[in-house]
Amino acid sequence: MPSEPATPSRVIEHRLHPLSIGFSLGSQLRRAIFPLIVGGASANFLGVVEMRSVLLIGLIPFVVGSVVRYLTFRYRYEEAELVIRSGLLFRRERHVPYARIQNLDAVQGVFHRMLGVVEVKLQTGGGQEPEATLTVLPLPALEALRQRVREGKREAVKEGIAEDGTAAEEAATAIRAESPTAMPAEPPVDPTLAGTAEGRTLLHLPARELLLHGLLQNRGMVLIAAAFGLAWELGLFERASDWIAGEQSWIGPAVEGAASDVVAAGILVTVVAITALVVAFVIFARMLSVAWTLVRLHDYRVVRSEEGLRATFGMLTQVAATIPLRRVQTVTIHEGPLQRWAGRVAVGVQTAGGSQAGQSGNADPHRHRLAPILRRDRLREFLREVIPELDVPEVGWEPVSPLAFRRVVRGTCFLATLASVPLYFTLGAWGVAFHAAFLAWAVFYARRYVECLGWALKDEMVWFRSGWLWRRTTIARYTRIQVVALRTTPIDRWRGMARLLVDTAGAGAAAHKVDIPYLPLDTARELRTHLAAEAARTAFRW
Amino acid sequence: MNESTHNLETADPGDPTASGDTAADAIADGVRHGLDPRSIPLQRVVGRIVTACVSLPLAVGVAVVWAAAVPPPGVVAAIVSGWSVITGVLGWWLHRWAALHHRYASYTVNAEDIEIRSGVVWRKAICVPRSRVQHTDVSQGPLERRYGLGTLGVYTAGTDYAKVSLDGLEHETALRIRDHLLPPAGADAV
Repeated sequence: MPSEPATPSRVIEHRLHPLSIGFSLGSQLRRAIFPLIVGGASANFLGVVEMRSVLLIGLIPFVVGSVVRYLTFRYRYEEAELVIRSGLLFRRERHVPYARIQNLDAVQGVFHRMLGVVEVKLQTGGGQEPEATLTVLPLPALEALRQRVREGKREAVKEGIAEDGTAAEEAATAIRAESPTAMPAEPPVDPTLAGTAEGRTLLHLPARELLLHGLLQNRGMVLIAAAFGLAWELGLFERASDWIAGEQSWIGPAVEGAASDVVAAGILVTVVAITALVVAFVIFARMLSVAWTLVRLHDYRVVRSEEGLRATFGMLTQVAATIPLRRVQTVTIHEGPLQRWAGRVAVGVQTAGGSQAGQSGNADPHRHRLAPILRRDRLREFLREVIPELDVPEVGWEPVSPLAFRRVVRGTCFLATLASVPLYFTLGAWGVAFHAAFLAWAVFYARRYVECLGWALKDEMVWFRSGWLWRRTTIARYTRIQVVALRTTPIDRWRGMARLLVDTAGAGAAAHKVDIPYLPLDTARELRTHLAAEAARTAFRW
Repeated sequence: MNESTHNLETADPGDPTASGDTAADAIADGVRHGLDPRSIPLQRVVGRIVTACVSLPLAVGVAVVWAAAVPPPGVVAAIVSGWSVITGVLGWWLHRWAALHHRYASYTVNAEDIEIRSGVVWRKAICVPRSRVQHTDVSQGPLERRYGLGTLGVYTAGTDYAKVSLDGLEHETALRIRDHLLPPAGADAV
């Protein structure tokens, strides 16, 4: 059990909370339950063994694994690093320097809260996976860990100044900028997860905004698809069909009767009825989306504190995610058509902490949407909090090559033609009309798409925007540029164009990057030389 | 300071700044260099090995089918000529590819960055600023050792280009570029 966190307890090794066994078993089971059920069901079907025994035998390794993990897991605080030991056969000892910790996320589900424990994830610059997941810690231990990390970082900065004044100065100011209200003598301790005791609230989403967010983004369909999959796996459909179409059921005949009445009433009524059903389904999906958003992002709050930005949210599962400000690599502004109509945007940040799309962590989905919904007129203010150097009222966008439209339109017209080939076979002469409509759309879309491509250099940052309906704008500071690459395809060389990619740390595979296509070759070369020189001029810090 | 342990291990810890400068100036000439011409025969040997790895299993497969069911002579001729066409085209193409690859690959070491160009059809020029190099390594496989060549690996904190490698360098040159790319001591403070 963790002792008092204030004293430097170098030799005391802490263990996880004993409930860890249950929680780690639970999270493993959640991942393994479907394969087990499918395997069990098929074994059952084949008549080899009973499903129940398959499930029981399948569970044994997970139970043993969880117990062993709990028994072997130890962590201790060294002066400058956190040391984590684990493993029975393959022992592993990880040293995580406090100064290298990128994010410290805390997740509390319903059960966690009932039992007074919390799951903690530490991320450093390396790799996609969290460096360490502490499942689960008692609440006071989380606070002790947070304080260690805070103090460790301050120590590291101090040492840096002592050794090399000029190089560390920037880092020190970055730390200072992060903590305008911090008292260096006595770091504030917040006993709750929410962390509202300190710092300034940058963003708070009231229920009205969350409602709007739920309406604008289409979460409902995803949920319906997931529910459908689940029902399929569990064989609920067969039971439901028995229930609806069974002999004693009144639902089946009633539906059938209503349907035949509608069809008998004529084509107009049928069309109206089908439209009504579709509309009802869409409304249902959106309502589901709203409900999901209200629960998941309940009381969404971004606070700027000593540690950086801290996002807290959730009704059932409460998440507290911390993002140190100077670890922000790129910022992306997302705008969909509905959001634009409502005057809202979303802002995502990428950190080098390896929290990428596709990773299934509880704290993850909102790491890259720091502000899930934000009024357009508040965007500038919010961005300036995330990137202090940013001071731009409006960016003057540079276009891509004037020949780009010709290239894009060829591609879209080809696709339009390909899509209308089957229509010629099925609709005959009507296929021509569809083909013409598709082509018109292809030309229009290509025009808009190329118009929306743009780049800019401003305030020591490179900006890139792309997409017409779903527009994304990414901002990368020169200090965060890692590699500048110029790429050409044979068509690029024929047309005198090139593609410029600016690589940064922590850019996930699905993330929007500064990857500018269709640049005139000369412009691309100039830009490459300029950006590389600017990057070389400055030092990169994690 | 922990970040630089990689570099410090490979560099001479005694006088990392003083020794670097004179050697660095010589290698950082800002001129675009081609790869070592010995990389062509090396790549050709690799190409022959690849060809053998593809065509031998094919030959074994043909022999097994032959033994199992004796086919008519026309089919035999077709199979054998098919096999020799595949082997011949692959061998010829890889032989040519070595020269093509050599023609379009180059590197430029500047005072503050290194640019590596490669690719024949899809070409790329990757520019890594010296200040963004996390660590470097020079590796030498058994074939490379025979030809006196080495591969330079430059590691950054980036995502798509976390590792940029350059093969077909003279081993000595690779070592000198590596030394040039090592950041000066005390450069990173966090």
